[in-house]
Amino acid sequence: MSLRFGILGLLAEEPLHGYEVKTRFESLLGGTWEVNIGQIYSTLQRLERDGLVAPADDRGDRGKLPYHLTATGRRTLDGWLRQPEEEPQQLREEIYVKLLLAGRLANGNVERLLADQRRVYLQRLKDLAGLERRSRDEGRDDLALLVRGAVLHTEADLKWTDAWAEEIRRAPKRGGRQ
Amino acid sequence: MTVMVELTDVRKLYNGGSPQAAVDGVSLTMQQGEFIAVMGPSGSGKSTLLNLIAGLDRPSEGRVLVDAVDVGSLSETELARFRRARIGFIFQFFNLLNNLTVLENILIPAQLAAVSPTVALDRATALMNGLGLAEKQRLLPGRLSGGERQRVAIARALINQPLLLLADEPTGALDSHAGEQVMERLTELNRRGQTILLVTHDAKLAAACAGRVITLSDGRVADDSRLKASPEVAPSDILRLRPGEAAP
Amino acid sequence: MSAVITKVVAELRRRRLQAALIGIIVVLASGTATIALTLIAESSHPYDRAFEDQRGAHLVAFFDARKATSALVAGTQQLLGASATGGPWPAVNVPFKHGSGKDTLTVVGRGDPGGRVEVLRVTAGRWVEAAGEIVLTRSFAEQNAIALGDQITALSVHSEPSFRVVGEAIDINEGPAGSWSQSAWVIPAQVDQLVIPGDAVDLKMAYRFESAPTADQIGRDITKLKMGLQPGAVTDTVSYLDVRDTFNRITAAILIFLLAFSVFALGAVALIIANVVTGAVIAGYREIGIMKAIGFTPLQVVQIFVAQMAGPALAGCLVGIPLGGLLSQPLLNQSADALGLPSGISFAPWIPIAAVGGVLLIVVVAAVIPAWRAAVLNPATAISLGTSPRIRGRSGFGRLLSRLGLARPISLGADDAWVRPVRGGLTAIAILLGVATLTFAYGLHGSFNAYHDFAPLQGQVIVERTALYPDASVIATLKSQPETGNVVRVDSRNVSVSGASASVQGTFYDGDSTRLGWLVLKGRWFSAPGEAVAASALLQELHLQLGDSFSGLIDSQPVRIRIVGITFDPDNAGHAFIADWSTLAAAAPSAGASTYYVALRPGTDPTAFARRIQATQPDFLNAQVANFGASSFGILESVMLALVLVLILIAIAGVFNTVLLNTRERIRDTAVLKAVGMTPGQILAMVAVSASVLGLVGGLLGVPVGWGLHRGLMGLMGNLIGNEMPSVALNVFNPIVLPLLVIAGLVLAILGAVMPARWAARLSVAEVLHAE
Repeated sequence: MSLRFGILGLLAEEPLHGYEVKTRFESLLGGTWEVNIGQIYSTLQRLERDGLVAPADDRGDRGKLPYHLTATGRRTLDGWLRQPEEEPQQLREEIYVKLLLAGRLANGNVERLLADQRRVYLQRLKDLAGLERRSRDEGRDDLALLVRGAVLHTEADLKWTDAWAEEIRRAPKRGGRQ
Repeated sequence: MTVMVELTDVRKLYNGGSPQAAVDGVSLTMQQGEFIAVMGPSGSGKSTLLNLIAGLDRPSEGRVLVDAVDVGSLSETELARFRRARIGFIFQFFNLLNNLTVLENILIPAQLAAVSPTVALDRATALMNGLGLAEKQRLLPGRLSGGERQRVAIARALINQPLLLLADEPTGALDSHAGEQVMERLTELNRRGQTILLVTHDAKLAAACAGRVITLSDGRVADDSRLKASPEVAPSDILRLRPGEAAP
Repeated sequence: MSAVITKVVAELRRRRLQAALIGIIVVLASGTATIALTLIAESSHPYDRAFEDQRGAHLVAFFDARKATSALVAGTQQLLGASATGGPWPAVNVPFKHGSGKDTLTVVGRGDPGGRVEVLRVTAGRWVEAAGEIVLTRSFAEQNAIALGDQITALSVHSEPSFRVVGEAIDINEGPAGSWSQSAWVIPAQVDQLVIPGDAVDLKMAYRFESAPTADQIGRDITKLKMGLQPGAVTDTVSYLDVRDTFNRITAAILIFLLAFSVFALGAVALIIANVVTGAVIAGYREIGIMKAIGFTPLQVVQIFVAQMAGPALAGCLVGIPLGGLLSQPLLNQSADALGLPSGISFAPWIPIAAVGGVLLIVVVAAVIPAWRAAVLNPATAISLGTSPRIRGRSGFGRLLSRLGLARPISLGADDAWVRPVRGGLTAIAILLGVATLTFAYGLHGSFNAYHDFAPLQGQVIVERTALYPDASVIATLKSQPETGNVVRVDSRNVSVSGASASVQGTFYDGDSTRLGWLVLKGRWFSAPGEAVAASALLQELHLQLGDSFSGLIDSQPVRIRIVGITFDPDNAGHAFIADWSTLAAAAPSAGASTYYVALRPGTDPTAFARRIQATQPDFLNAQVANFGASSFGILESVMLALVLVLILIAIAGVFNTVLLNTRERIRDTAVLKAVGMTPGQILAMVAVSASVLGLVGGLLGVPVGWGLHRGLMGLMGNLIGNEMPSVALNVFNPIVLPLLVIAGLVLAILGAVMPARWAARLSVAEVLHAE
């Protein structure tokens, strides 16, 4: 979903052709998202089918087709920009499943797993903190904000890990049943 | 590498005779130049541990060696002298003296140690310049922001060129921007060789600054991890934006 | 209301030390105040009551029976417009021997102790019924250990008749034995038999008026008497005011001190309480805010603070006031005894009520003012003030000191003293009061010691003779002793002076009187006939200056006397003068000395000498060593000592409280200083210095205040005894001692600060700065 609207948003600034969209998009997100060019093209086609973008009339060099935003596309984009996100919270499923299963299985060492996961999160925080600082140093405040979001999420994950460990500590017997 | 701090089976019982221990059998070694963060929830004993290392409290059992000196064996007066020569302290609530100027606050440990006034003033000036406090030196703490006050506290902690810098929740009373500045100062200090022990519940602070994170739980060491600083990490290694589901 | 009470009780339990402190200082102050109040209320009271009970005479007059008949004397009642009279009774002065002592008593012939004026209260035995019986005054009998049934011998006539003591009585118109001549009573017929040959009987008359006359009115009455009769008819007069004053003289001096220092003590208590409450308020800002937020009204908040103070204060009163009442009894008994009142616990009920009321009023006012300020704050402000207390400003003093190179703990301590200027000021004042009291006591002690420099006749022997033993023989006996250095013959007379409310005591010296030890304050000693020296009270009363003259009657002979010098003469409350014998001889050529002052050669023991002289003629001579009433000093000094102790204790308590409050308030800062390396010794020094600053200020201000008080109260004392205080009594401050007194203030402060300082030095940093 955000790829669709990301493309719409980029085209709102100026008409772009497919490859430009890819590079700009990746640059906008600071390299955190490597997009498949094929995915870009298929999304553009779908957007054109829905009447939100339209190819320009003249063709550029090498036969690249620049697209531009239609009026409908602009309205749709504006509507999307105004709306807050109401999607349900997305959680990391894998670790959750892992922990649940480890708790059930006889050979699952939940404490060990939690400790290791914690270490991962700490290192992640260190790396993210460094990244955030470098972004600010380079003047990329928008990127720094994105990284800040990641930091907060990681902190949340860490807190969650701690809560899980606390729960086990308090009621060690309960971990196995259910 | 010299050993700066060495704790051997240290226990500290709660004051008031409760059989529960605030610190329950902790052993650890800290090398010179290390930056250690001690984390843990409320009641895990991290502040008590800090107090024991600083000589502000005596262990019930075990031995606390700081710079090879057994802290538990010193008298109150000797401890005070020991502290002002070797240990610098930063608190969560700054704990500046409110009726003294910034400069006067910074100078206090040096004056207590009877350092010559000229030497003390030189050190203070250098510290203030390094911390961006030079224009504010005649102000009273009441006129400073939280971040500025903490910087004064840092200068005060460093004026006697301590071997060990102890920080107890240094960003706890600061907004995120000021907190980050403090983080950066601490990191910078450590880069220049200052040994730092930091107590905090702020995971980001601990992970970002420290090279080693010790987690306490119920007065015991639950974890002791070393973290690597990797400036070459690419963003995509650590951060991915998740694409949403296809729009209806 | 129960919410308020609950809170108050909880606070009192928590702050036990503070409550105890307040209780103690209130005990001290209320006790002192009670003593003062009791003495004021009671000292004239018993006398006045007894005076009315016994229908005391406002005026007593003696008439020469040769010059005024009984009927004439009786007629003076109408002349004066008196509402009632007693007498005329025959009276004569008779020397008596009793045991080993000799005294002259005024023997009055009276068949009935009752009557309409001057009722005599018989306290032991019965009244005289036959010849040979005599009734003595109770104070005389007590003082000379004479019991009922004892015999005393009259020495006025050759036959030396003896009398049996059948009763003791109290004459309200006489002062206590020792400071006032005493009467004795026999049946009227016997008076004639006791007259010294050549002397005559007097007629004694007692007058009582509708309303108590003033001193001026009495003076005019006396003049009327003299005018209405032959010159010389009136031989002596006694005003009831003089008697009353004699009782009160010593008590009055003590009273003045007690009053002044009770005010001090109560003032100091008020200051301390104001300090305590301010401190409690500051410590409790946050709590006050919370209390108001949960529903306590401002009035209830004030009630809580006031009750916290009033509770211990009330307890202190319950201890201090009865204590003060008990301690005031010995002082009261002194006067009550002489009046024959039952000497027991005399307690006017209004005194404890007034004392409690007064103390509580002071406590409440001292507490309300700071409490109200806090109570009217809105809760949010109060809470924020409490969470981050603002200690205003910086003290330049500390910075100055540190620039002078003094160690940091000292300059920090100096700052601390004035961080809260009101608190520091109030404490300094409490110390000031303590030092002032100490200074005053030092001065008083010095004045008492200096007394020896201006009390006359020190170390000399006073010899008295009866009329039967010839003057010349006495002189011969005295001069024959090898130790005799100088002898002065002395006689005194009551001199009627126009313009004086009572007769003036004139004393006449024959011989070299310049070395008797009289202190001449101004002018010079007399050197010619008609010259005299007098006490300042006399000059004031007669509106005279040094060098002026006045006229008087000695034995009905007119004399003119010129005052050439002012001396220190507390006799007769300053209503006295001393002149040369020639002045007396001019009016009464046949006068003979009744007393002799003997100055001894250096190294002679006066007591042995006196005993020897006495032994030569035990019946006719009475010899004793001169001692001019230094005994009362003992009482005054003990009272002063007690007052000094009280004020000093209160001052120490004040400092203790202030330092305690300061330490508590600054506990975080102190912990921080400890954390960054201040040793316990340095902390002690810091706290000690902060107290010392206040102590020095209090001392520097207190010494001049005490000095001024000394001057002032000495002046008052002088007025009481009718004399200017000689400068030797006032200039008693040794300059070396003055700085010591200032240092005493310092010592007070340090004593008060010791314990809180040790607590501060010992506090546990970990506990105070506990972050979790």
